[in-house]
Amino acid sequence: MKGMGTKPMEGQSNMMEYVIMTFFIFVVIVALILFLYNWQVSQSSLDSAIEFSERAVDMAGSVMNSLYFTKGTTMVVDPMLDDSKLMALNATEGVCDMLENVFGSGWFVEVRLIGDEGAEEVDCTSGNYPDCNKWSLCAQPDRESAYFNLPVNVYRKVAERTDIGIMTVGVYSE
Amino acid sequence: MFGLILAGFFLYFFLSYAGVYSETEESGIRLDIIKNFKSAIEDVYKTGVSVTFSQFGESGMDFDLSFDADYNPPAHYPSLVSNVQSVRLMPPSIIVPGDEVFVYRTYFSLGWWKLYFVEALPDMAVIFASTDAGKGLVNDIVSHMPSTGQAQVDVTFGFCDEGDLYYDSLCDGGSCERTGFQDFLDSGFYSSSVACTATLPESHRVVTISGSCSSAYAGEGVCLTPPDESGIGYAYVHGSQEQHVYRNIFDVLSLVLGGDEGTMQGITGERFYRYSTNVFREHIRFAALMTANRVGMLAAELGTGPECVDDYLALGNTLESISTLLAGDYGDYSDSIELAQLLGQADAEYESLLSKGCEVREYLL
Repeated sequence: MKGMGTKPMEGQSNMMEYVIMTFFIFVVIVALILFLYNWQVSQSSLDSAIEFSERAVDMAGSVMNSLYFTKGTTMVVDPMLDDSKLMALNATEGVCDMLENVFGSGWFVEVRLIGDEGAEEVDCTSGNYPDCNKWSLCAQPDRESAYFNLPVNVYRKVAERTDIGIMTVGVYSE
Repeated sequence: MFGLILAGFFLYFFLSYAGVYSETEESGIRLDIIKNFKSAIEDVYKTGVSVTFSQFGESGMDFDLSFDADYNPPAHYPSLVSNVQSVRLMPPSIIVPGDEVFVYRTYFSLGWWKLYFVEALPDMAVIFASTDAGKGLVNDIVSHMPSTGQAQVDVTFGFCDEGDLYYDSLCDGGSCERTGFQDFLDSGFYSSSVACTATLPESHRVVTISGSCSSAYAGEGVCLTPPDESGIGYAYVHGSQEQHVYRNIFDVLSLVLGGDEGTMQGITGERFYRYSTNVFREHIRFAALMTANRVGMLAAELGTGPECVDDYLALGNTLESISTLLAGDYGDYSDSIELAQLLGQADAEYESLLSKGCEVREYLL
């Protein structure tokens, strides 16, 4: 009699074990899928953030080695910016479109001379050159950007001397 | 039974995930290699330090890489296209894909400006079938190609005269890379007035230079007429009836290195030629406009006294004319002659500024 009473109980308990195990495995699989999905999403957003800042660094290198910005007509190992070229770029109509044709789209450059402490920042225009200390090309203040600052030498053509400046090169998110 | 079904389900899940994951990983590796190639080209363009890029061959993967040379900004920029993704490539370049490529920078000078461009070349033999009148152009082509003496990639040169090939034993019993070939050119030249029919080495480019080149050119590779006194000539590519005007060494190398291979987009040499023409137009138009503004501003700043002013003003006017010409629908032979004359004039005016010390002469080490 005892035996007849325990068999259905065993069957039920085995069934419960299977159900619990299946449920547990299902939860593990779903958790695994969610984990891998999240990992891939976070990885790709990290990759795009790295790519974004790498673009800024690359762009800084391109500007620093471009004859449109640097002194002379030869690409050299120790280039310096030429203020007469920065000025000429500022004065060229449709300069951003032309720069985009050469370097690609979605970037800006700004150069500020480091003068005497407390010296006022003066944007360079065709009217005040060479008595000015800041050039800005293709800046779009409303757009999100990653940027990169680096110290640069700036050759001052009219005065025939070299000043030190900070160049900011940035790229806009696409 | 239930256990078997469960195990099967697990196996299926893991195998399919592993399959998708390995495919994604492989695509990622391919993309990384293409981006590394792009970086190598950009670095060589910036620094001028040549490199051998061998990751395509080392990976053992199929990339199906090509250079989409359609440069039509802002609608379309050139890019490296593969079976994974395409990446934009801004430095002026001539890219010939291969398992191992030598990346090299060269330039041509207009005096007041230099146009730099990169060549990425696999093992290649450039074979000339040229009349004596083409010797200068042969020299010019060779001097703008890499010297691969110590590199893993071999870019070599030789001659062809109808059925005779002068290639295998031209330099110390072997084939010539650039330096050896230039030494050879100093003392010798195998002239040919007919198309090359010899059996050629693998991965070759045939360059025929002859006054009789025409749209009916049936030989292999490209046929170039010797340049006139302005440095301009006509070019014809095997498999096409089109006549092209070449104006500078960038045009010539685009045609030669692109070659006569037909693709879905057209003959590679012709695609590269259109690219070099557009790159020259965009870059030099902008450079001329910017430099004209620069010299105009400097002339105004220096006042009327110093001797630089007149030369600055003259150069500014010439550069404005160049910019205007390039902005228009230039392209035929007469426009090219006019452009060459203006470029020559600007070069002379810049030289005058250099000789007076108004601009600083640079010496290349």
